[in-house]
Amino acid sequence: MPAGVPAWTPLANITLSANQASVTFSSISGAHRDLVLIVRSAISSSSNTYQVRFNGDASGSYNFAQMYRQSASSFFSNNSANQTRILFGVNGNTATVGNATGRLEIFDYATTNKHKQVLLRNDDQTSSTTELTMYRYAQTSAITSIEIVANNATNLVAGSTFALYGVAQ
Amino acid sequence: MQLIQTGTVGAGGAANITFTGIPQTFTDLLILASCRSTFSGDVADMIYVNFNSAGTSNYANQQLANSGSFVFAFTGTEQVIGFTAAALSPASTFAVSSAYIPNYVVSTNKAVTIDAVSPSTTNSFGRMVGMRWTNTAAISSMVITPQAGNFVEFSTISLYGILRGSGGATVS
Repeated sequence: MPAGVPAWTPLANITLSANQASVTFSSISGAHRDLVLIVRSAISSSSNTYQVRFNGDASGSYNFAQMYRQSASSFFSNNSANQTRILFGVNGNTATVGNATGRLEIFDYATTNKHKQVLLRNDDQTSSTTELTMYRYAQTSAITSIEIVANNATNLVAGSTFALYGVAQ
Repeated sequence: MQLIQTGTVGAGGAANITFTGIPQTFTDLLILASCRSTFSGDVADMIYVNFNSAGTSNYANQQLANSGSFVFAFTGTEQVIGFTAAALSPASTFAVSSAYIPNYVVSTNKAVTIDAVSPSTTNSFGRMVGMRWTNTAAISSMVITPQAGNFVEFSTISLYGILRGSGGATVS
């Protein structure tokens, strides 16, 4: 890859100055092929997870298959359909920023003739979890907003960072 | 995403690939590796990193792995940053790894997401790894070595910088 040629275009980012319940990316430019969301966060009450929704859609449009480990002797595969959100952090999340990182790759997000495929990688050192989950968002509408919410009325912790990138066509 | 530097091993092999003077102007780092080592004990092996020449302590990792049709998981304290094909893998086979390091200059611990595959004839493997370096220093250098043996010619590791920004969406 030649130096100086941006394959990723930074779209928006936020570092939380205080605990808050959610982060929302809106008015997302449709000029790219894919999106990449980098999450480096913690939840105020550990053993909770993150919920992600596109376009505020809480209908049963999220279908997934995953594999993950919770410990050296505990690893699983799983799948389910018609979920109301994307969920990551299968074994809960750390309360310490810097101990976990998540990445969502959202393919063909701006198309209006495809369901949207999502590849999610999440690692949390505190819970000794690593996971790979593939989601199909069963809507053809373009994704123009992404909401990340801490589950069970917990909060995203101050110092957490969320960064959105567009991947070049 | 911007290429910072690429290290390619020449004839005769090399004990390590080193990045120094890493610019502190990016937000995240991405390491892409294509490697093969002289280790004669297996088809693949881990690649280690020494951030800032700070030593081998304060690393922890959890892994989900497959080898052929066998799946397993384990936890360790190795400073793993990727994987290399080794001498028992088919000729001309190099393992490929991707390691993503968000917020490498921020004064918190560093969490790294690593994915790797090493194809083989009967014993291909894949790895998902979460690694943590419990150190709040900004990362300014890396010495990357195979767990055993040396890198062979044509092994390549590229370091990219990713800069956070705005202008394409609104966030709150």
